[in-house]
Amino acid sequence: MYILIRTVHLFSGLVLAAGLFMYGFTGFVISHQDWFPGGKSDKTTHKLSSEVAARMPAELSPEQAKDWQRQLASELALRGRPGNRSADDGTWIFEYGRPGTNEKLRVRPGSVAVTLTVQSAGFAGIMNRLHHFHGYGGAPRYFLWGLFVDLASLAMIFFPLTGIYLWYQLKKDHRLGWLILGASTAYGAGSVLYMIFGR
Amino acid sequence: MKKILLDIHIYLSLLCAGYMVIYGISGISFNHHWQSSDSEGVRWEATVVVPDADEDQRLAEAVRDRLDLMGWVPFWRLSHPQPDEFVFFVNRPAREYRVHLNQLTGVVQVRETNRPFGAIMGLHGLRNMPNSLWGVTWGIYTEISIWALMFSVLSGIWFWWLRPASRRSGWWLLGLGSGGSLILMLLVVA
Repeated sequence: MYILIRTVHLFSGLVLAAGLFMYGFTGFVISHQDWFPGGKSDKTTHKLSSEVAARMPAELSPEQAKDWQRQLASELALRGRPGNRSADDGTWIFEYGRPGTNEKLRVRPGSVAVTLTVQSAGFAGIMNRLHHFHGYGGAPRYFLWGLFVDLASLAMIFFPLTGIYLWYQLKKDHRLGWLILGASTAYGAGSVLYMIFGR
Repeated sequence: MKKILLDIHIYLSLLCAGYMVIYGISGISFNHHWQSSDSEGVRWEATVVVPDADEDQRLAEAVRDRLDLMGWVPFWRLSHPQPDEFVFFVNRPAREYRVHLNQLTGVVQVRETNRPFGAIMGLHGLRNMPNSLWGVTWGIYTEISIWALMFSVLSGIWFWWLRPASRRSGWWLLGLGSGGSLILMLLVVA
């Protein structure tokens, strides 16, 4: 049983090593943003022409909006997780978000002229958004990313539990381990309860 | 050397085990947009000396401090429903306070809303919290856990490397799993 658990702990660790390290590293960057360049975003605006926008009707159902958004993305080479909404002035706003970059396209249906606003972050901003990027919506790569986040999160639960088993089997003297594990568990659980019941 | 690193790997991981579990649960909840359900908490009143403040955000934070509440005041939720009435919110993991201040009398009416599951989600990455010494300790624990995670990954890879029998299969797993993860990160960012 020990060999099996150790093998599972080791092999699943190798599979998820890059992901776990990424979350640790990006978490570190978020905690110390001032230490790293590129925390602020640059915003640029571009006036473009779009034949797709010229053909777009004013009234769109949610499904139609998604379809037009795909066409606009293909025409203008926009990449990212899509989102859209209609504005009060009759325009549509189509957004394409990915870690570190947000592309916002404002379209007036029937008009060739469209406005693209791009917000781009540097290193620290990309690390921040990579850490916070989650969910399954969008292109296949974003679905895979959602799956990746779930696996990394499950690993964060799984590794401590298998690790505790391995420690208990490996070490003859458990006193130090119990002291540390007991203290950390008490602190963690106590913190959760403090948040729930505290002032 | 191996024994020392293994002991550090083991005991550092035991130290941060609870934190990792909190991260794992909160990570899944963020990924699936789980929301904590609200339940109405207590209502209470107090009287404060209304602080002098030149802007609403400072006023809200000063009243929060005088009430000794922990948490942040979101700037987008400040309002004056009537002249000389001021409403703001104080947010922290697992609880929200709606604070209604009568600026003439100093009477404060507080309504609490509880979000128990929000405790786990709110602790994810929390570094500090206004009016909370506990928040400082959690920030230290967060820092230690970040380092522990990165150390555990790297030392774990090194322990694998010390086992020749596992190297071939390990290379496949590292290549496909971790290598694939790195490619996916680049695809998502690019």
